[in-house]
Formats: sequence, C-alpha cells, structure tokens
Amino acid sequence: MKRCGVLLAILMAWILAFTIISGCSTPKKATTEEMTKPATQATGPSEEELAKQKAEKEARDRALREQAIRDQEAREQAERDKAAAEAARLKDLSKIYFEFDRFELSTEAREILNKVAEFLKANPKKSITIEGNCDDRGTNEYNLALGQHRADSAARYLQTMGIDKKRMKAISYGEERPICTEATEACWSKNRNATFVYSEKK
Amino acid sequence: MTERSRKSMPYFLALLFVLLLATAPPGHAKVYINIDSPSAQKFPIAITTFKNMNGASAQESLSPWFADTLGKTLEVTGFFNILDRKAFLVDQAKLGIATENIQFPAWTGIGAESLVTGGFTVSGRDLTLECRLFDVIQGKLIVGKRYTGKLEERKEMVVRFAQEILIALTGEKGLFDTKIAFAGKKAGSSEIYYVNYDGTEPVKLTNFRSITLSPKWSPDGKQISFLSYKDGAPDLFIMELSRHTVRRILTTGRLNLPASWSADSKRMLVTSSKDGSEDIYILSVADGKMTKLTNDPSIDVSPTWSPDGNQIAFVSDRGGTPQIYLMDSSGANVRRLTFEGGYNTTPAWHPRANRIAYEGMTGGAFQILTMETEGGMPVQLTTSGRNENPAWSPDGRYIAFVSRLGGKSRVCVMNSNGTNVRVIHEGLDNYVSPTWSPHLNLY
Repeated sequence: MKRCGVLLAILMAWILAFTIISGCSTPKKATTEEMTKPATQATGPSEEELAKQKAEKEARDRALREQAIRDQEAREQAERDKAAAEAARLKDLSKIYFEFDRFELSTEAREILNKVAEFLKANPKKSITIEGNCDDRGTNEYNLALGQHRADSAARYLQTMGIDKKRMKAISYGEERPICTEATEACWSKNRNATFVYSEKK
Repeated sequence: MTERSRKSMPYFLALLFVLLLATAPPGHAKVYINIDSPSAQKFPIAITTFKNMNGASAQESLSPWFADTLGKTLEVTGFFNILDRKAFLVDQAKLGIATENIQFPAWTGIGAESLVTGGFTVSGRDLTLECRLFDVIQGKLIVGKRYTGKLEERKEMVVRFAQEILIALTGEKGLFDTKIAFAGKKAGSSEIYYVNYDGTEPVKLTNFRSITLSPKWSPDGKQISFLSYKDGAPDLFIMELSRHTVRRILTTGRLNLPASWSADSKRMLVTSSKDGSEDIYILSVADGKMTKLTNDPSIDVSPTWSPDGNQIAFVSDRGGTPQIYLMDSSGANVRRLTFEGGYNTTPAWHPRANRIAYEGMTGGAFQILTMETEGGMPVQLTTSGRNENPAWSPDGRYIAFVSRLGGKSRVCVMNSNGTNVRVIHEGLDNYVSPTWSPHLNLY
C-alpha cells in the first residue's frame, strides 16, 4: 500500500511536469498571435483557420516526402548509371584477341591494355585476373600452355605500364572454356583471347 | 667339366646345331602370328562348342557360351579370324576333345590353322574346365590347361586360356589384364574414367565438377597422375588407385601439367610455368624436388621418356610452330625430330623401340603418325576424321587414341599398323588424353 502510494505520487508528478513542459511551448504561439491580432481573436484561431493550417501543413509534408523520394531515386539512378558506365568501360577492357597459335600482342591489344593499365591506376583497390584461352583446334595440352603464354604476355605488358605484379594473376584455361563451339573462323577467333576479370584487391 | 670333355665340346655342339636345324622346331618356338608385319593377315582359328563332360543337366547353354566367350575374347585382339561354327565339318565335341580324337583333315579342310576344344564339368557350384589348343597343320597339341574353381569364375578361366593361346601363338600373354584411362568432358566439366582394354566395365574415378585432364598411369600400376582446377588453379594431383585417395603434389598458382612417369614410378616429367615460361622439369614425387631441363622463353610441353630413360621427346614452338624435339634426359643436345607439317604434338614413345607416335596436322585435320627417332619419313596410321592423343599399349602392339568423326568424339584402340580400329568409350561430349595401364596381373 505504501509503495502504491509512492508510485502514484511519482506518476502524478510526471503528469504534472509533462503538462507544464508541453504547456510551456504552445502558449507562446498563442500569445504571439494574440498580440498581433488583438481585436479579432479574442478566443484563439477559428475552426476554419485551423483546418487551413492543417491542410497547408499536410501539403508541405507531402511535398517534402515526394521530394525526398525523388532525391532517393535520383541517387539510385546515379549509382546505376555509374555502375553501367563502369561495366561498359570494363567490357571494352575485358578481352584482347590473338592470331592462331600466337601469343604476340597486336596493336589493338596494346591499345586496350593501355586503357586497362589506366583503369587499374585510377582504381588502386582493384586487382585483375588474366585468363588465357584458345580455340579448340590443336592439342589440349599445347593449348593449356599457349593459354598461359597468352595470359603472361598481357601481364608482362601491364607490368611495363607500371602495374604491380601483386595485383595481377595469370591463369590458363586452354581450350576448356570456349565462348562458342561452332567450327568456324568467326567462333574460333572469339575463343583466342585473354579475358580480364576485375575484383577488389584482398 | 673334365679336360677331355672340354676338347670334344665344340664337336658336340656342332652336331647338336646340325640336328636342331634338321628337325622341325618345337611348337612353342614357331612364330605363328607375326604381329609386326605391316600387312598381317588375321589368323584363322576354329573354336568348337565345349563338351559337357558329366552331362550335368541345366548346363547345356554353357557349351556354346564357352566357345562364344573365348571367340569374342580373342577377336578383340585383332589378330584372329574366328571361323564360323556353321562351316564346321565335324562335331568335334561329340568325337572327343583330346589329341587322339581330333580329325585334323576336317579342320585344315575349312582353312583353320588352329583349333580349340574344351570340356567342362559342373558339380553344384564347382566348375572344372579343360581347354586344348591344336596346331591342325602339324596335327599336334600346342597347349592344354585345366582350371578348377567356382561356376561364377568361368569368365576368368576363359580369359586365362586366351592368354595361353596368345603366349603360344604370339609369344606374349596379351593385354586382357590392362586398362585404359582417359579424361571425358560433359556439360563444361571433365573427369577421369577408365575401362578394360576391350571397353567393358567403365569406371568414373573423379567427381570434382571442375576441369580435370591429362591422366597418366604409373608403371607400377598403382597410381594415376592428373591435372585439375578443382582447387582453383591448374594443379598436379596423384590418385592412389587401391583406395581412390587423391593428394595434390604440385601447386604453383600457374600451369602445371603431368607427363610421363619414370620406369620406377618415383619421378615424373612435368611441364610447369612456375618460373615464367612453360618449361620441362623432372619432379621427384616423394619430396617434390624439381630439376629444370629446358630454359627458354618458348613453350616446351608434353615430354615423354624413352624406355631406357636416357632421352626425352617433347613439343616446343622454339622454331616458330609446335614441333617434336628430342633431348638427352639431362636437357642437353636438343634436336628437332619432325619437319613435315606445321603442327606436330603429343609425342608418345614406343615402350620397346625407338619410335614415336604423335598427332600431326595433315590435309587440314589431325592424324596419328609414327616416326623413328633416328629420323626418316613419318608413317600415317589414321585417315578419316580427326585423330589425336596417341598412347601405346605396354607391349607396343596397339595405340589408344581419341577420334572425332561425324561430330562425335570417341576413345578408340587400333593395332600399331593402323588396322582393326575399335571404340572403347563414347557418349560424352569430348575425350582427351588416353593413357594405357601396365599389366595389372588380374588373371
């Protein structure tokens, strides 16, 4: 019983304090309004006024919310655009091609490798895996070796362009992971490549 | 030996020599089938239905079964023309199966050079099998054997006698106790399989769901080395066959390809690019120690030892195109072997001769060729489709290889002269690098 009484006292003190605190803020407004419009608002804002204020407030809130949503969408779109642009850039920087049974870098290959080097320099957190591939003519074992040679060719060139060996890995897949399987020069030339795969450096 | 006998020894030997020349040579020394003859004709042999010796009921079907099974077993060797039983002039099983019962003219009359008769006795689950091989031209017994065991061992008994026939007629027991392993590709991954030398009983050895290639059977028959990407990079593994346990023996982050084993199964030739370029090393299996043999910026790959271990054949593009080269096993004295054609790879050294089988691009497609290591003109063994990756049998009488014809890939075996091509596995998308086991002494 005693404890109940104490709790009740505390509760009442809380309510009183809360009323005073909350009561503190609103009266200010009412007081200001009263001072500027002494004659007409002797008893406070009319129902019409209140409704108008509420409507305006709701309109403002809605506008703010819609703006927030638009901002969010804009941010997301910007992210997507950035990712797409990077993907497109990486796609341009994803493959170089070779002649049959050769691992020398063509002029075109060097141009792409120059851009790869630029990209890697601009993104120091990225590392690159160079996958060497071959078309399926020729022997599996020889093609595994040739694929390694092709990957190494590209890696050595990037090294001369200033990319640290530690950021590069060169692996051969020989003729084991073809992009296409038709027995045509169009398909074979697609498979004679070094493919670049970018990842965050660990 | 006494003084006197030593003086007369030479005269005695001379007399013996003359006598030997004069008499007919004993049956087991006669060369019945000359394997190495390039146009070897098939040897005509007649196999009678086997006699049901104790007339045991419910075993009648074994009479033709033994004859048919022995016939099929011999036919796979490619050396025999199994004569059709419908052409037989006599029912030899009825007449009797021992030497004194054989009517030799009835057999020479249909063109046979050899005859096999047999008899079986089944008692419960026990089986006794007797088999005899006759030279019908000379009218005599060459070899006879009796086997006892269980009824379910009957196939094994047939194979054992087939081995006896081959020893008697070709000098060697044949390859019934050997197997052929290879890599098979399906839906983007590849695994190692093996089959019996006649293509029966396929076994899938790996299930890594990765790229797994280049199996090489060790000369002691107990291990297969191979390449696999299962740990993320092309590493070298050995599978111990009795328990199918796998251990990784070389990982360098770069390409490692297993190649031929040393004769004592303790070392192997490997291609590794660990030092920058693809070079050939000798790898000691027990401690992983590597000895570098080639040292140049070109591609050096697919090495294979000569049978005496003193030389190595390998593929190099140091001359501009992939060609086959020879070198001493120390790495010294490198010299080029192939000069015909612009792409010659996968050399396989004959187990007993200085001859190499390889695949060469000729007429726009790969074919299997052989060449003597002293040099000379290559001999082309295959002509249709695309034929690659030759592997010799342990006796050098056959070559296993991969054939692609009509869009289908198959593992095949042919006689070393290119005849008698037969399929030992098909159905997967693609096949690579068959390897032939040594004799596993299963019979």
